[in-house]
Amino acid sequence: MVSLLKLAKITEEGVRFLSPHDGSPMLLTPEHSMSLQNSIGSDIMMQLDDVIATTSPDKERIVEAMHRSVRWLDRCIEAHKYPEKQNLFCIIQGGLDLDLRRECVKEMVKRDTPGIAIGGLSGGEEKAKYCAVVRTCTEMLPDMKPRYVMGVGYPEDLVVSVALGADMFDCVWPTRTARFGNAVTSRGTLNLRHASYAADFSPVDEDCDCPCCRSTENGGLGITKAYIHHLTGKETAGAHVLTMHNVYYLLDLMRNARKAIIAGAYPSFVKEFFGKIYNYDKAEYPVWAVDALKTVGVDITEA
Amino acid sequence: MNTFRVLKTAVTDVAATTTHQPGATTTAAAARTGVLNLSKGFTLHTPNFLAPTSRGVVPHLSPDNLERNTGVEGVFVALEDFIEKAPQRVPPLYTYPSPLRTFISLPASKFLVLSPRRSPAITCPKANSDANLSILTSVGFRDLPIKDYVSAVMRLEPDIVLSIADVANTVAPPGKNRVQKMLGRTEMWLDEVLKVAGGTGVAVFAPVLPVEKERQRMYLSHLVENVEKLSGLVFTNVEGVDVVPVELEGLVKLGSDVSVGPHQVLEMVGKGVDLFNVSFVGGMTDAGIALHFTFGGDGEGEEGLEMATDMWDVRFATDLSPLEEGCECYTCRVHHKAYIRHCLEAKEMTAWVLLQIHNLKVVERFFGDVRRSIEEGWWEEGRKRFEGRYKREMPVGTGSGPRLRGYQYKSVGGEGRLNEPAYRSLDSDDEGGL
Repeated sequence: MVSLLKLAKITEEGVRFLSPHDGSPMLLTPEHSMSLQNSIGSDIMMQLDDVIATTSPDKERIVEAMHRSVRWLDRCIEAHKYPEKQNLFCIIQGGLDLDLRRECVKEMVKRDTPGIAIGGLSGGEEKAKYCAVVRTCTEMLPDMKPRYVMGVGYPEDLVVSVALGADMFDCVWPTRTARFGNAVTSRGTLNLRHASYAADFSPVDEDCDCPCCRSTENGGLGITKAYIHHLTGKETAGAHVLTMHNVYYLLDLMRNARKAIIAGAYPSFVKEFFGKIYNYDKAEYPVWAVDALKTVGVDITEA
Repeated sequence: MNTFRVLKTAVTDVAATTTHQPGATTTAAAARTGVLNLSKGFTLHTPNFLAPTSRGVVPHLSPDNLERNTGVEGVFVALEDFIEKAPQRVPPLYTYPSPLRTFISLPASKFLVLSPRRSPAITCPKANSDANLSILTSVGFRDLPIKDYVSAVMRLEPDIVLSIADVANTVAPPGKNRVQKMLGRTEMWLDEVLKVAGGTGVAVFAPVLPVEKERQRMYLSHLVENVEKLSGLVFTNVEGVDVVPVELEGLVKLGSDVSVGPHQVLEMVGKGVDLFNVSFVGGMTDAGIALHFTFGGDGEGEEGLEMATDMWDVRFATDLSPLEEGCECYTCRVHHKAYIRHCLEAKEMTAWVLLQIHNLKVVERFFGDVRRSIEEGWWEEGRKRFEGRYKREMPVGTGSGPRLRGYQYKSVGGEGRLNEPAYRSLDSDDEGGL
């Protein structure tokens, strides 16, 4: 069960909260969660887990949440009606405590789910600690199962996490930030609401081939930064076109990451990626990324 | 060269081919079909509609959706949507090197109608002056210098430009002196637009004021004198149509604000209006209401039907049928009522995208049927049937729309919260929650 914890109460039975639609009380149990996902028929189903913000000072509660997530995983496996056609992923918990994470990995890997998620991250923890958790988990995980880091979507985080051995991600950020007028580009994130873009008639990202950025001569919409600035926060269609761009950018980033891995050239891909965002000014490179990449033998500061 | 040809009028049944030359013979106002040819190559069969835009977009439709999933042929764009803090800050649009249609990424297949104000326009507290029109931009009430609008005609290269009407900001009918001023200014502003429009190929539409014929006789004869320079007339109300002198009958007639619905359209079509800015559609879409009226077809004997349905209604929660049986729009081909209701309930923007696509299709089909009825000679019969078949009023929405923006309504003070928060705290009863 994801964040918004102030709005919910968690017991061994499940999660209680008020419906955002009509305010009626709801109870989500592992069994009910499975039944809902079985009826939806999703290809991948997520277990119901007990998540505590990694920044929480309540150590005991974090331990409890990890153990409860394992117990709930058992209830989910038990309740899952179609294991032959729907893939249930476990979700590793344990906060920022690496030993707790290791214990959770050990327990969950035993359950042999078709895929494994690393959860509870991306909640405002230090990036270095985030990377340590991802690496600790991926080191112990079996090779032939997909590893899914939940809630991650900043381009830098994706590129580093892939280097650390993660395969899949999900995040609301690229689309949500589009609704707020922020464009994710190969040169960093641009806040197009800023007055400096009001009369900027260039495409959102010069290097981008998405329908929003492509020129009309090449079959695109030829949208300018100025027009997004004009629409953002005022017309839904502004959110639509920028969402197209942001989603395209991230899909393209991951497509290129896959190509680089297959070509055995991921380190140079990472170097170019950071170089472009920070204009090859190595002093600007985030320390956490440099350090995390070094742990897997990639040094983005060397020529 | 912008030309308009009346193909057929419903009453006489005679294919009177007239252009808007002065002295050309035309019949008295009646439903008619026609062809509008604009100098940049657009051809429009009338009666037909314009899609209103907000800040340059047809609400909820990105340019690709507008192109691929609607039959919209022309859009109605207001300059007041682009000028924000002018004259203190030069609007980006004025420094943009290409025409307005490129700024808003309007698909090449659509023509652009430029108006000073949105339609319907929010009433401004300040009166107009000889040099300024009172407008509302997203940063508040401002002045639009008439000369800026006139130079916009040159720079922004619209296909059709609406000249500015000096309409009073009051609810009460204007007094004698005010009417004189209205007519004087409207005439003066029209002359300024005509002066620059001459060489550009833009079609100029002149406003007809919402006052009695006798009171605007002078202004109307000014229009008659300039009929060769004009391509169309603009009406803000149904009654205005009655004042048109016969010499102006050959011009395209545009109803700039159709906010009531199809009954109003039919009434105006019956008086010879050709083009309609369908402002009622956006309000329906925002309210989560799906249109489903039709002018053609049979259905004898039916009466008192609703023209639209509120999709927030819980009875659609598990309804897997399309918004309208047999509709060929993208929404009806691909989605069902339950999904649209779900998106509304979740305040997911897709709900309004899908509704807008469908609603515009219903309007497109409606106008196609109206044209066919005039051509095939069953207009009067069709109109009577429509009036009997459908209620006059659109249903009232029960759900909430997308977030309301300041430039979409006028605050009168003391209203409650316009956009309610979705989440509440589990523990406390207080409304604000977090």
